[in-house]
Amino acid sequence: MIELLAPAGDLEKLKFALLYGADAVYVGGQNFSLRANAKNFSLSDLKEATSFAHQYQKKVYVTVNIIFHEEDTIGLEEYLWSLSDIGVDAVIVSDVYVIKLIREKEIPLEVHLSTQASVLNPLAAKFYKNLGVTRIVLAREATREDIKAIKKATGLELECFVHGAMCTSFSGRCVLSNVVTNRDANRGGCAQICRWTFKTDEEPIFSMTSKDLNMVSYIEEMIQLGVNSFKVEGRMRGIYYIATIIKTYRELLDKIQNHTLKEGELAYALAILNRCANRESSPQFFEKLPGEKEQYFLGRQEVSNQDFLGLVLDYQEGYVTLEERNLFKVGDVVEFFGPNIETFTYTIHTIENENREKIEVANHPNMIVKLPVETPLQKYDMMRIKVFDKEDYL
Amino acid sequence: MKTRFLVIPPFKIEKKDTDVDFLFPLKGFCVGFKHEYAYQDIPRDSYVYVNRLLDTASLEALGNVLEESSFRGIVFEDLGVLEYIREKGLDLETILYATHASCSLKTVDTYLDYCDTVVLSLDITKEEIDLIVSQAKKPVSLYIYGPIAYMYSRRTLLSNYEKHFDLPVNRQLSLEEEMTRKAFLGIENAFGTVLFDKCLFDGRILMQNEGIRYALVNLDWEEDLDFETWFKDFKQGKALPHTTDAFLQQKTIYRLPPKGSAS
Repeated sequence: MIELLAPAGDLEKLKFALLYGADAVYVGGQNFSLRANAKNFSLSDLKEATSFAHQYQKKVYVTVNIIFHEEDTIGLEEYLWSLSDIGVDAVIVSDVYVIKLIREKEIPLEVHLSTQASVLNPLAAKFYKNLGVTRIVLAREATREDIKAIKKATGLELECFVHGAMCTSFSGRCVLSNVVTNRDANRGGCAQICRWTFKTDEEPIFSMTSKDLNMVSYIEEMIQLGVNSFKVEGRMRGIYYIATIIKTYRELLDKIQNHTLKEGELAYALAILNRCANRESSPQFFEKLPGEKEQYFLGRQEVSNQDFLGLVLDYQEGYVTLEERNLFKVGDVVEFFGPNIETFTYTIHTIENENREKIEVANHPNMIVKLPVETPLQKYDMMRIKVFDKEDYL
Repeated sequence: MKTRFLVIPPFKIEKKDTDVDFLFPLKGFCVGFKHEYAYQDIPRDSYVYVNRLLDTASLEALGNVLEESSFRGIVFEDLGVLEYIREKGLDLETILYATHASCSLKTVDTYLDYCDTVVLSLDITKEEIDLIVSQAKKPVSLYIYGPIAYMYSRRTLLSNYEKHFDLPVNRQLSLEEEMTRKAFLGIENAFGTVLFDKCLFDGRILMQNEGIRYALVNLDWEEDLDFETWFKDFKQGKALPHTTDAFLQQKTIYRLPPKGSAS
């Protein structure tokens, strides 16, 4: 079983992730999850999410991955029973007490060990296997040798991050946020102090910001090593990011498994992924210890772009209805992409506003416009600036 | 039960005090120490400290050391160490110090099913620590004095910075966060980087609790010390300069107050 696992910060993102090709999503409830200040999912949201995912034979995993203080354990058992009743497919936990509670109370929940536990070796994995976990999300610091050894020794399902932001520290081994802002990193309040700057006795300033993770070039090898689930980071990310990253990895995974990946397609995928991210990326620890080239040295260095132009709301009689996300105008060369269409190029010749009046520019956020497009489109498709031509890579 | 002190020495000290045992950071298996000890140099019947998260090869190497040696006990972070000792049936006292993961009574009790004692995390308040000490199913242990680690990275963050800016590499660096002016000391070796509070942790107030198995005292940052005198003063409560009590009186939060509410 090879699984593409996507983040989902709310119901809308969950739907995009699943429609764009994720086999499963991981989400946070409103308690006990490491993104305490995200929108997150109420129990009723989780019910809807699980029902939606199961319609498509896809899965929902719920993070219960804080490190528990005594006060946090109140209501935990009831919450776990609720998750079980809803029918979520697994919980992702890091605190050993949660694993023990689920097993002792015989709560019918599959348990995945969070990357917060930082498992790097087969014996640590065995410890957790004996406690009752069925899958381990390995530490991002795991090398190919570690992955191979853990799989061989335990036979456990292995989940590895393949894309997205990195903690500078081992996950779960940092309380800088607690110290500097009093926000508890291991209970969902991380203020990302590792992306701040520090004075030293020397000039210049010190920073330790890590570049992002990107495992595109190693997907095939990871499959051979026995990795079961390919995980994308980013529960706080928007729908465009999720759609683009998931669609790209979906196509890569399918083509690798079908042996249909053409030369140049990896490079094209990398170009798309890098354009979508706001930081540079690298394979990080898989092959070698990351050095100075895998870090930034002047604090946060994030670049955002306005590539996401519009979200398709409807298509009728040769016209697509779009909700504008970034400015576009007559003459722009764009691309449509979506869950069920081949990405295609389109030159904008006409834009109509909601009153069917012709306009030159769509320049108001969320304004509704119509464009004449011959190729049928569907709700959830997206329009973006055309930056790369796939043919140039093949 | 009388609490015993596990003291990390800055240099080899002859053991005299009867309620003290020495704890030696094991060279090659620790991060964030100024002084580490090759296993051949560690006296028999001492305790060893292994605070790295261990990759597969390192755990195998550690296993060889543990099987050859005759340490009395081991303080460790990686649960692979515990599993190794259990699988091999080694006669070693197991002292788990999962730096940031032992924060509730229920969690600690779960760990205590598998090891002899647990060193409590210092990310919780004195009140929370008191509760765990008094109710845990076995006697727990406390870190009561020394450098307090706030972040552990596998990356060599200091030498990366020094290389990037063409500075001499010395693997120790004083840092001050620019907005809050909070001061840290970074210490690095080939296995990673640890950021510490610039002040030493003083948690002697926690010794008011009864039934503590071990009290850990870390003198790694001391360079010149008459241990007997220092330790006598320490036990008698003599004030020490430049200390912090970390979170003992400072409860952390994790949900921001709603926008518009009074802060």
